[in-house]
Amino acid sequence: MLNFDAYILLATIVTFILGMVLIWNVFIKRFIKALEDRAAGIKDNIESAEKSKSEAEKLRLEYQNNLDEIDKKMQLIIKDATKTGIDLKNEIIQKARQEAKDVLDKTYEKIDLEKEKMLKELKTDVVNMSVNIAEKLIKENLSAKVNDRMVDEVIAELEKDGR
Amino acid sequence: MNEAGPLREFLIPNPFNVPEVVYMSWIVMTLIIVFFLIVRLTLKRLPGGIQNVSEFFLEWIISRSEEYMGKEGPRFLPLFALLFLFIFISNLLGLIPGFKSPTSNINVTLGLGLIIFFSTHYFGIRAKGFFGYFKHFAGPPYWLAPLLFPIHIIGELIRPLSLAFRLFGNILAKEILLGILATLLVTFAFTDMPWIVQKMLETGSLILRPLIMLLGGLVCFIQALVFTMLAMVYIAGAVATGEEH
Repeated sequence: MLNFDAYILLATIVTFILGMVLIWNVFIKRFIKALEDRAAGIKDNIESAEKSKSEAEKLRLEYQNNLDEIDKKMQLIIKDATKTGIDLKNEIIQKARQEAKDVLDKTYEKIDLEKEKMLKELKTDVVNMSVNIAEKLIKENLSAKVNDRMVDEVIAELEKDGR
Repeated sequence: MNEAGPLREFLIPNPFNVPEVVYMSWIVMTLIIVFFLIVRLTLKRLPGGIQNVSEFFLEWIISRSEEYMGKEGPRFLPLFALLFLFIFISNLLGLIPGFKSPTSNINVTLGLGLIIFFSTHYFGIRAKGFFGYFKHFAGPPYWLAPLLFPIHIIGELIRPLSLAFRLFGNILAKEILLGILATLLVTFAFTDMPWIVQKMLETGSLILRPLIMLLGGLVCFIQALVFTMLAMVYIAGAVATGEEH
């Protein structure tokens, strides 16, 4: 059980060393290289992903700025449009008021003219009536010349009163 | 010298009649080489199956060696990886009927112990220089060198023996236990005794054997681990600089 056998001992050492050299050259070197390559690949992928992420973030900020700018412009346009609308509304109202005033003024003017015309007609009628009455009353006493003067005086007086 | 059973002789013939234990260690080494060869041929960027197992194992060895040796650790990957695999598979081989653990032979374990012994001093001398390396055997304190130097030398010489005997003893004990249980099973089956007693003894041996095999599997792993870890500690101690030491 405890027999010392130099052959077995040496065979074990030689087998182990040969196996180690073989495994080192055939497998482990390649394995370590593969691990290093993979680690490098993963590192590259992570760096690339980080870069993409940073670019995406940059793009997002750019879009956000654009959106903010568009929003500001939109607000400005809405504000301008509102102001224009209000101005237009005020202008229309003003114009309508002016037109109404014009129509009213014209109407008053027309009324005045009509009134004046009617008054004139009335005066003429009154004068004619007065003349007729006076003529009937003083037909016998007044000459034609006095009669005309008296008519003019009455008209002048009526005109004065009519105003 | 060839003590192989008929089953093993049939499955793996030994035409050159080399000593069984050497033959078994060749089988173990062949299995390891074939395993790594398969992994090497199927090496992919995205690992799967057998490559995962090998990567897990080698990374485990790297992390353990880094734990003991720092950045220098991975340099010794082939030594520690092969040491662990060789001992573990050698230990397990004895669980297969007809096969025998090479590590149940003192010459094999002593061979492995000597590999670690020479590696330790080789790497130590390479790291610190001949005088630098042997200087730490003499102290400090250096005035005690006449006493410390022989003690350290004896300690160093004892290391491969302790490694060899620990592994050999544990694996031999496992094999003897399994052998005894198998023998008992056969003995009880053909012994003239009351039927009920015979069946009880047979059943006991039958139940006990797989349990001892499970325990044997655990012992195989633990002994391989202990041997490899101690090898790492010895080499780490030899190559460590002053502060690390």
